[in-house]
Amino acid sequence: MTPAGAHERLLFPGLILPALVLLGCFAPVRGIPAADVRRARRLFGLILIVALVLSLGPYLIVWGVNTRMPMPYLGLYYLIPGWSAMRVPARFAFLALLAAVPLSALGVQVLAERAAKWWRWAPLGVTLALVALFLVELGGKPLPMQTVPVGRDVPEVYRWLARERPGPIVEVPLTPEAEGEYLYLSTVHWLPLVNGRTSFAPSSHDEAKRVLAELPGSRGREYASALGLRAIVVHGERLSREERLRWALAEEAGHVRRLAGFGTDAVYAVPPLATTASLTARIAGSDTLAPGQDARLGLLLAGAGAAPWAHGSPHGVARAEVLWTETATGRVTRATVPLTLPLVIVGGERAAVPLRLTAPAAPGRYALRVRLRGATAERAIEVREAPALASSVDAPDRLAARYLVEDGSGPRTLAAGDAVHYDVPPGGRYEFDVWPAPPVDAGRYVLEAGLVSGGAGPFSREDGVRLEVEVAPLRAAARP
Amino acid sequence: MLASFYLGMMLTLALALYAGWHARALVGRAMLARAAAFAAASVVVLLPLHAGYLEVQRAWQASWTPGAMAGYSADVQSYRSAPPLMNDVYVSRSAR
Repeated sequence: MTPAGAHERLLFPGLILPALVLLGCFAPVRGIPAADVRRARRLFGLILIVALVLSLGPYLIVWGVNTRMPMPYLGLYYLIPGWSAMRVPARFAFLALLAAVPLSALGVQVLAERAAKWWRWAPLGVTLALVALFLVELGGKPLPMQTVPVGRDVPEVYRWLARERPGPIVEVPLTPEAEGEYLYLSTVHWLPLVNGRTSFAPSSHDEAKRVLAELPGSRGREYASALGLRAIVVHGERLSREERLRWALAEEAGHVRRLAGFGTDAVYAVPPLATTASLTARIAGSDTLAPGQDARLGLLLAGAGAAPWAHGSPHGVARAEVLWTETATGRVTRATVPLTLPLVIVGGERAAVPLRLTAPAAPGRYALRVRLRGATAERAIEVREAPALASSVDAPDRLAARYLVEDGSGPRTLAAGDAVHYDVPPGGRYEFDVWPAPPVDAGRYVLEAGLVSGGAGPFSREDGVRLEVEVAPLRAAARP
Repeated sequence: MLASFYLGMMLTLALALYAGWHARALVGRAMLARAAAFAAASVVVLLPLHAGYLEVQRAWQASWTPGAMAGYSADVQSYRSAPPLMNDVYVSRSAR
């Protein structure tokens, strides 16, 4: 696997450019006024150095190790508005290249005027030779290009969408490799579209895609309706055989109504659905916190009634009011915390939203009240030294699994499990698929599994699982 | 838009360095008036294009943390790592 951003860090400029820059910076240049040369060297040299230093980002990284040594980029991050919107500091290498151009031109001048002493056409020869060397360095490789349909080659389904304008849509399957094409083809119809990709996606968008991936299941359909979608575009050729069958069965059962079909592409209607704007909220997590602790609790949200809850416009980061009321004195401390709410909560379900807050500095018993969009959640919290262990979800976890066998020598571990990467607030739920390889030898085993976090033992936790497993050799299928 | 934003930030930095370098020559009523006119014209042209992005940025508090940016920063080693589009000799040597 390639680490994220690895291609941004391939910045070797070749050998010719740095050599010409060095010549341009330090060799005597004739044929150009000395003051102009001096000014160009100082100005573009300064820009070159500043850009090179900024390309190193907020912390010095040496041989892939972040030294945490602050760099000037970090100062600009806090000083200049908009600086934090730039994700890739390495792109400042482009500015360094821009500054290198006039300096390398001085280098070419140095070579050309030296060569002119030998032959009057030599400067032209030097210039052409340098261009040829640059081309050799580049390698003459074609840029990778992607062919996209234009004009009459645009699939008919997109022209139908542009004509009929059914409303906000989602395109299925929601696979990362298809998103770029969906985005490009959205310029044919310009309808609001759930699909898309960006380097900065709110968690609510990821969740929307996750639930809509369940289409044509009932949960996905309810989510699509509550979200305000009016049509689903299904690309059959991109689906597996099983997925195509699911859509066919859903259509046959009347769960989805086809609006139009174009070869393997189909458009299904999404009926409108009544939603509720009222929320109910509950706080989940530890009842004990340390004084001043930055805690992470869960806010369990649900729509009032059986109807799904839908996030009204405008979308964005919501703010919850947090009140700590000290039981003994009645003193109230207020704070505001940002929350990213889900776009839809399916009827009858609860959504867990991380609630990050700071516990009061003074020990005591408190009533914690959280107000959000008309909903209020309350929980009694004790603030004291040596609190209960924080929830395991605060740290990266690992699902450990082992097979135990009783053979007279006591239990022994035969296999271990995998790392589990997740971020779930207290009260939240996350499903993962881990395959602890079974033992080679046949026999009866006990499979234990549990989460490892914060150095706690994996198999002593209450939430661990214990299964009895029989491992039997597979019989070869009889051949006809 | 993304490329223009990066370009705008980088060129602003380059211009700031240029202006700082020639501070004595540039500081004058006439030059300041021209610079102010340029800044105002830039805002008039760029603001309508950037307004939607600014609104999304504000609503979602979209910004990158220094820790996240570190993953996209050049390493000292980066300047000897050739991109795959360069000639194969450089690519194979830098891959060592």
